[in-house]
This record gives sequence, structure tokens and C-alpha cells, in this order.
Amino acid sequence: MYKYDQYDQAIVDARVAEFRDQVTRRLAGQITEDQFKPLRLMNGLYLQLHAYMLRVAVPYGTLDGRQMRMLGHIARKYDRGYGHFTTRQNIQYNWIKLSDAPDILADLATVEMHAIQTSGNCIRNISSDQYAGAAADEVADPRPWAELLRQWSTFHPEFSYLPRKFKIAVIAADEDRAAMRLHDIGIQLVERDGKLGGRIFVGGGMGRTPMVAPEIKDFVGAEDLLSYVEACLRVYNRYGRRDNIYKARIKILIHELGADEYRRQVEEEFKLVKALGIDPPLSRCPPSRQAQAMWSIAATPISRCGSTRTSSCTSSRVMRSSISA
Amino acid sequence: MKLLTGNDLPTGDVTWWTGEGWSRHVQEAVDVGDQGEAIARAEEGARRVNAPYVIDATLTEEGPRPAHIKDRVRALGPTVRLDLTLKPADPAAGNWVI
Repeated sequence: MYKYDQYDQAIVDARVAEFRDQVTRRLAGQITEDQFKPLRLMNGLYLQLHAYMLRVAVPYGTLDGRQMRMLGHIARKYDRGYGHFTTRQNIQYNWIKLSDAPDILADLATVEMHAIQTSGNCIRNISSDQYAGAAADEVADPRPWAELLRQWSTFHPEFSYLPRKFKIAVIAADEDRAAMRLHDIGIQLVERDGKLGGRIFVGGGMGRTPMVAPEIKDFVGAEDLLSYVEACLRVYNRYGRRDNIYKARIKILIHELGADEYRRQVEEEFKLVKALGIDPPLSRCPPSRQAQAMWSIAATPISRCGSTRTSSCTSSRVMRSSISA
Repeated sequence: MKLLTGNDLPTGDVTWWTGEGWSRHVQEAVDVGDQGEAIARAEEGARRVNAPYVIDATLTEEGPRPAHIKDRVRALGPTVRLDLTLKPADPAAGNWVI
């Protein structure tokens, strides 16, 4: 299971302090609700029918006992004794007081959890198969890839203001237990000629216009996966509708453009993205079970990682998660 | 009649304008006539309410009844968990919403 490093913890702790200050200023009347709303939504705090609701991310549905006990503690101390696990592997608390929200986030941070990007028009929590890493029919453990996507998407400056929310799922079996094709991007890890890669489905969704995502690429090698996903997002970020909330999801864009034209644009964009070098080195890619020999356990020292956005840093952190999984 | 409703800023609780302040009980709400928007602006500015809005309602023997089911659900509480509503001891409380 992935463990926070010093950068993860520093980022989450800083966000808690920032949000505490924002809540204090809101309660003191120094900022209006119009100013505060986008700030609280960036921290997963909604104002719903009966009360505030806080959505907490459970990255790809993976929890340890310490974290589960903390979720129970929060339900008892700050809510009404329960929480609601969602279909995308988050948990929602429905009776949260605004003044308690910073303390809740601080409690969550002590067990490596947060509510960042659980709301708003950004890339949401990455979801996966509930049997990820344990199912016999998987070609690889999808969790390191989900973690890689989590780190890549967290505070991604280019994708913080997308036309609409964006959901990604990663699986590694033929049986789609994560409703992967009902996501904005669904990735099925597959093996071809002994090489790990992914089938890429884009433009699925539920809600008022349910659609099953068409296959946009039948195989993207592991060494290109992150760049390809970035290219998919870039095309959407450029051409997705921002004038009509009901037509802003990527499923509408692909429906209107057609899968072939969307694919053509993604392929063009991919050539540009690939040159940026955001993919982890292949030798450090999370392996498939049939390709363990490719796996290198030579970790990049954390002290060399200057940023969470660099590929060397991301790959080394993901690799450690895979080792301890 | 017109009612003014919103949420309490610190707690998020559903509240109703009583003419003098805010109550969690819709039975204590008063007709705001055409003054709803002005009251809402003043009260929101004073941070005594969050996201206020005016709704239509009818006056019944039991008190004001919001016209839209959404606001009747807001007034009572979650109909799927009557123990968490404002009338946890009344098993028929949900009938008022319908």
C-alpha cells in the first residue's frame, strides 16, 4: 500500500492550514459565500439539502485499518455516527459543521487522507476494481498505475479548471468490476506480446446522458500511458463546452466530434506531449505478473525529487508503493 | 404566501425566517410578502444565514407548508432516516412531505 512521503504530507498539511484560514475568514465575514464557495469545493465541502457534506477521497478504494478507524472516529465525533461510501470509492459525511471542517481535514491528514479534488471541475479520485491486486484474472496490479495517475493529477496546473469534473478508472481484468467504461477515461491494463499496456476508453458517463465509452486506443504501451492520458485531457480541455453545464462532460464532446476525430486529435496531441518526458522510465514501470524480470528495484532517492510533478519522483514513489503493496 | 429560507452559516442547518430571526422549524416561518429579497440581502450580509432564497408556500392548520417537495423535505429532514429528522419520535412524519 502506498505510503505518504515528506512531500505528500507537506502538501496535505499545508492545504489543511490554508483551508482553516479560509474558514476562519468566512465565519468572520471577511469573504463572501461567492468567494468562499470555490475554495470549500476544492476541499470537498458541499452545501447540500440538509447540511454541509464532506467527501473524503479513498484513493482507488484502498484503506488500511488505521484509516478505517479514523473514518469511524470522524463519523462519531463530527457527524451523526455514520458515513456513506460512494460508488466511486469515496466516503461522504452528511452532517458536517463548517467550523469543524478544518479539524476533520487535520484528523484525516494524520492518517494520510484528504478531501482534495473530491469536488470541482478537476480530475477526481482515481477508482479501480474492488479486488485490485487480489483478483486472479488481473494481468497486473492496477493500484500502482492508479497511484501514478493520482500523483500526476493532484494539483495538475493545466487541469484544475476543466470544463467539467473528470473521472478516471483503472482496471486490469477483462471483467469490468469498476464500471470502467462509464468513466470519462477508463483504462484496462492488458498484455500484448509480453508487453504491458492499456486499452483506452474515453467518453463514458452516467447521469442524465448515460453513455458507454468507446475504445479510443486498443493498446498504449506502459511507457506512453501517462502521456496518452494527458493528451486525452488536453483535447477535452481545449474543446469541451464551457457554456452549458449539461453538455460540458467529455462524453458530449466525443459524441459530437465522433470517436474517430477525437482519436485523431489525441494522436496529434500525444506527439507533442510525449516530448515533455512525463512518463516514468520503463524500467521502473509497475510490472505485469508475467514481466517481473523487467522490474528494477533501484529506487530513485527521495532527496533527488525536487517536485511532485517530475517523472523521476513520481515513478520512484509509485514503485515504493508497489513494493509494499 | 412567501417564505424565506436558507442554511445556518456555521452548522449548515436548514433555517426559516420568523420575522425576528431564524428558526429550524418551518411552523415558525412568516410570510415575507415582497420583502424576501431585501431581508435575505441584509441577513446574508450579517452572516446570520447562508444561501437564502424565497419560496412559495400555503398556510395550513399545521402552519406554513412549502409548495415544492424539495423544501418540504428540507423542512422535515431526510425521509430515508426519520430518526435524523426534526420529528424522530413521529413514525408518520414523512406523510407531511408527500
